[in-house]
Amino acid sequence: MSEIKIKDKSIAVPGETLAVGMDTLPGAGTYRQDEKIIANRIGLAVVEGRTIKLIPLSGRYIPKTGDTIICKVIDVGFNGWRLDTNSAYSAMLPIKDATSDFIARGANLTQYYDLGDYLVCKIVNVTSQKLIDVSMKGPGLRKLKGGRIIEVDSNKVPRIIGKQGSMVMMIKDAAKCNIVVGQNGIIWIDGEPLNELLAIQTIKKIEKESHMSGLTDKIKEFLEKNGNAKN
Amino acid sequence: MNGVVLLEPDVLIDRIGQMGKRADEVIPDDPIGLEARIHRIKTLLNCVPTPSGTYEARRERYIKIQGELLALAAFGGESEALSFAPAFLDTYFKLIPPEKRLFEYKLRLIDEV
Repeated sequence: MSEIKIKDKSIAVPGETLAVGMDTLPGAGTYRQDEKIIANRIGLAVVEGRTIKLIPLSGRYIPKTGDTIICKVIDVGFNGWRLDTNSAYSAMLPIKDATSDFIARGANLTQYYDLGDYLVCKIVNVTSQKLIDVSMKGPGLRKLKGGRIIEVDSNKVPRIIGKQGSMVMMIKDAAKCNIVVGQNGIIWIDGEPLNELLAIQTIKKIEKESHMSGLTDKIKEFLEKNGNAKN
Repeated sequence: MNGVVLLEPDVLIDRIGQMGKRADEVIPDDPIGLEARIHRIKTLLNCVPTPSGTYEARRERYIKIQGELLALAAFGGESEALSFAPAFLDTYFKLIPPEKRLFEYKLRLIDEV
């Protein structure tokens, strides 16, 4: 039988032995070295049946097909826009996927999206060479106007969104703000300045305490305590 | 024992996942058809031999399922192949006894060098 060396949901560091034996298989963020399963990044160790995996606590965003992300326009070319994805790789938004309007040959593309604009878009393809194609065609995909942008660790995004969007809905209701969370860790918040501040403080608190249990109750309490002062 | 290397489920899933990232390659059509291959894999996974069979027979069975899953992924059925991952995991633990797992793992490492 395999011997699990670490408690479920405890923090593991790179090089730490998580289990010994051939009855357990290495999952994401771990690897096998003979009979040992070893962590290759910092994260929460989770035992799922006969597999041990790590939920990462840090690390840069890695683009995946199907992710909805918030990008910044960094270049305008002849056939589309180049976007900063908050990762090591930039993305290309071709004209055909940018808008349903007819765009004449040689038109000034900056009248649609200019340098520095933030866009909510969806990754439609990531090649093995990490060339990323994004699209603006889909519900909720648009150019962001007004509001403010904050950056969080992309590994904390699932915690900020919560189960079926419960956490972000709670923040939206309490702070009375429009919030769009990109899976690349870029978040757009639009509301009254004090409400925006409350939303930012809440999101930063979630980011800081994401590895702790009972987070939803803590955030609820935080919003109740601070929300009244700002409404 | 035949010369094919046995892949542990995590390694096989990783290889299938890598195949899913092909974007600039032309994927050939499956000569027997994807549906037929999926049916073949389901049958193989449902009819796992009893543990009393010889290790060679069980290993051969495992290699056959492994080959079918890799073929399914190679012919464009990566997501269908990944959907068999839990059943394949069970099959690994049923067919490959604990004392042989380390040996097979080392064989794979030697093959990769």
